[in-house]
Amino acid sequence: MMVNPSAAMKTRTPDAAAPALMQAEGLYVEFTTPGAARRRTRAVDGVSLRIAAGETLGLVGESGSGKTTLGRAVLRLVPVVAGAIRFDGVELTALPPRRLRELRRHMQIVFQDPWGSFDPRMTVGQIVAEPLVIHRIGSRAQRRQRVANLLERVGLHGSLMSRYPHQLSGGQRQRMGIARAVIIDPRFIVCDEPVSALDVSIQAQILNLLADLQQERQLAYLFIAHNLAVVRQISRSVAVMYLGRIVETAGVEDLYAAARHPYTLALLAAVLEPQTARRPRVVLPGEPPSPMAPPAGCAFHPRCPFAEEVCRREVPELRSVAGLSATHRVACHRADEQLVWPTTFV
Amino acid sequence: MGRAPVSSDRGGSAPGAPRRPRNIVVWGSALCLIAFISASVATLPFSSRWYNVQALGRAVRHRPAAAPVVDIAAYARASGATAATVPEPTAAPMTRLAHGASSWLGHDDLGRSLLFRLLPGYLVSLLVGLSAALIAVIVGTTWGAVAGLAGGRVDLAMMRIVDLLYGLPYVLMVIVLKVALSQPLTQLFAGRTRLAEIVVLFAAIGGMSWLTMARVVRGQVLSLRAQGFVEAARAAGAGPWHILRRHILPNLVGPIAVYATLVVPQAILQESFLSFLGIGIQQPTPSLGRLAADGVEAVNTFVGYWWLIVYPCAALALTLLALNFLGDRLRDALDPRSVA
Repeated sequence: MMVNPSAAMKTRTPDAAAPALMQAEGLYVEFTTPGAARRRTRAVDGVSLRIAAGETLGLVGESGSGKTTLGRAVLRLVPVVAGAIRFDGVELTALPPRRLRELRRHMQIVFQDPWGSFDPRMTVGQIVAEPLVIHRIGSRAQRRQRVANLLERVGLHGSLMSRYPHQLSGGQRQRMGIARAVIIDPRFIVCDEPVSALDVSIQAQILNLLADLQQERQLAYLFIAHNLAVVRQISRSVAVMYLGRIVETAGVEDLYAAARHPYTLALLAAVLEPQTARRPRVVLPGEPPSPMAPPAGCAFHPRCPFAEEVCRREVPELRSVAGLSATHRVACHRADEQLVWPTTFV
Repeated sequence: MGRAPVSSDRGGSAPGAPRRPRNIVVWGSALCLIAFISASVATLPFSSRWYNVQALGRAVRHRPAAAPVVDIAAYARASGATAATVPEPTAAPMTRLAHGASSWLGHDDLGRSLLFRLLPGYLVSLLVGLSAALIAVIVGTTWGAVAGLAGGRVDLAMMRIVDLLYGLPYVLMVIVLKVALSQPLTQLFAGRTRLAEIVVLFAAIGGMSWLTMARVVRGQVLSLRAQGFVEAARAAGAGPWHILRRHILPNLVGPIAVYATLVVPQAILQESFLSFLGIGIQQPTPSLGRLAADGVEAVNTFVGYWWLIVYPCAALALTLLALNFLGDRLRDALDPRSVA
């Protein structure tokens, strides 16, 4: 199956003029379920995105919406079925493994799970230095110095270098994960829910650290989260994913001010706002459908109170909407209307 | 951020107290093994004389009627033992309280010193165990790691071979291997039948011991491959060789070492079992199982020659316990999480 590639290609983020550092077009990722019935699950369903140097694209969605898979796919950590990924003008999908490994020093990833992503047998110093070892950068002493400086920079005491990851707290581990990602001076980092496993007080520290590093080093982030408040703090533009597709994308302020997709509206209503104790609550009915058996038409229609006949038949395309900013694009048949969710007071 | 050093310090100081008794067990196990092994090696030149059947045969032939009481003096003379290590000529078979170190554990039905049979027998058993562990580590690890890393059809084919070998009855396999290997090995070792026999047994037990190891290692490789740190290394640009050397192999060392220490007692037990059945080590070569089998034959309701069965079994039990304790401790030592 093919989506209209021209529609996908024209996706714009606010800095449309800036050359894209990372650009994906019509990306498809499928997983084959093992077993007798080899069923295919489409985790990423024709997604396009572009991120300019030094910019952050926030990617939000429920668990199972394919956002993590998309983050891994643009780094070619999971096999891509179809589509193009261009990093700094180089087409990644056609790159031989050796060249890809060389290129990996420019694009890194910070993992969500600060427990499993570190080898329990390696010390903090060895873990952070590993990318340097892989790319044969510097002598042993130089590497050590560089690791010590960077640990200091991300807020870890140098004496932690000889510790093991299990001796660190969650926040410290995440700082270590960030240090490992930035040690080889990458230009693009996928932050895969870097703060969702942390205490709220630590979340802010880590977000500030990421923002500071971005400024210092002109890093581009693909920032994956399921929390719109977190994304708002760090991103310049936001893409909302539902069942493997981007349903709405816009500059961060545009999205918060004038979201059009019913799913985005529901997500925004779910963000906790401290000033109101009693507030209208949007109840999103049902659960996200299984990507193994996606509903026909708009994937959101079974949960959407505004669904019409056309929503059950046709997949809506990501399109710009009259009256919204040029970079704001919505995949909804009723995007031209101001939809308001029915609310209940709690 | 400031919380972490506190918690890790706390983790470091707490487990000091309950450690002591375990250390005694571990050191006791190590000492027990070292004592057994060094005694076996040290007495090897003496004991080789004491269970030398040709010498015994000559001693028996020395008395034309092959009297029930074997002439120990003649045996000693025939085997060339020095006066210092020879018990008094009056030492009769099945006696316990004779004279000198050779009588500490009593004598068997042929008047041979049980001590001097037990110690080399111990060495034979231990060698069986170690060789089985070595085969398991080398063959099993390679097999399992290749299957786990290759995946797909290679993995499928390799593991079905293991399943197939698993399905074959063990004792039957050993007999078949013995029959198949005895002839060529005897030729290879220039007619040294006894050596060939031991090597066949090693091969038979080792040939079965690697199967479980291959499964363990494959499972470990599969779970390690899916670990976050392997993906992190891949994301950093690591090639398959780097991942294997830096992440997979170091994390395999623990399970392999622990499983290897379990293979040793297992193989010793299997050897004992096979020897007990009479298809393992043949007389006069001693092994713990062989000695226990002999002991069982000698025990009857009228006269309890208990030492013939108690001492070999005690040596076996002590060794197995010691190896298990050491393996347990080894696992802890190899786990960085236990380093506070």
